[in-house]
Amino acid sequence: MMMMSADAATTAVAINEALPYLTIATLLFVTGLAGLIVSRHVIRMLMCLELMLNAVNLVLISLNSAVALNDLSGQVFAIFILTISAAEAAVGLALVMALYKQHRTVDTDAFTQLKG
Amino acid sequence: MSSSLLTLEGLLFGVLTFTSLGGALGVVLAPSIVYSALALLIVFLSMAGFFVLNNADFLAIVQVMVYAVGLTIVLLFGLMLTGNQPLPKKPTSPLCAWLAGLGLTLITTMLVALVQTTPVVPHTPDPTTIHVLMSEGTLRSLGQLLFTQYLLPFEVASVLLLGATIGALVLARRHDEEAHPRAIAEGETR
Repeated sequence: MMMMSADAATTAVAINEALPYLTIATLLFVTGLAGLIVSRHVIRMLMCLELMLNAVNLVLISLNSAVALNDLSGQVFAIFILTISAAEAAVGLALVMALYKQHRTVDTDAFTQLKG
Repeated sequence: MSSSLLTLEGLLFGVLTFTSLGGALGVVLAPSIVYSALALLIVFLSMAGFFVLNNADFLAIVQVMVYAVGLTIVLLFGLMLTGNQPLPKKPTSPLCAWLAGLGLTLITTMLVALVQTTPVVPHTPDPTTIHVLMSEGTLRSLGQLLFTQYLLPFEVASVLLLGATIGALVLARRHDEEAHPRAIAEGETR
């Protein structure tokens, strides 16, 4: 309401700069989510999880570049996400190995111990 | 991002868009899981390209080293150790398919609306920032941030990595004496 027209114009420019990247990140995130829901292969599900984490990284970095280049906090956040996704992949694959040793398959439909 | 697609940056952006989205579709739709892993490699490399376009040179290199090389190799090791047999085809119930489709559509609409309507504070970087970025890149500023403002998260992340390493070793350890009876029987008949 209080925004001046010049302010509105510069805001639009700032959004325009990051908008293509944000759109791509949205599409990547949704693709990863779809794969996570649809897939029955555990390792493919892990891959889709990495896809989603990458999309989030792209959002952080493109917005940092468009909005606040003086302060690289967005890139530091991306580094932390990268660290955590590496830890997640290691633990996730160890879990897949343990499951595979028990069931001799990677099909999520076969893991039914918790079914009543 | 320049408005014209004819500049080098615009051309690179178009190519990277094509490869990243195509690779993402490949991850989800590829018939063989190995092709999936290779498509994921393509996505990781195009992400590195996007990072370069967004003034994140150091992160682009880290992306190639950690994701494109490290993670893909770890995933391929996982594939080799679990075997590459195709899963048996199963019909999905239409109710589940509809629910998944509905949820995905909702989330997509929500995210697109969020992206379109988020107010972004206008910003013009000062000349010194631009000069530093052009001459020496982001590495020095990233290091300073990481060891001053974000020191505690940095240390916590190192503890997390240690915990994850030990946890992964413990989980993947071989328990010969308490193996699944069926696995032992299979091993004996082999």
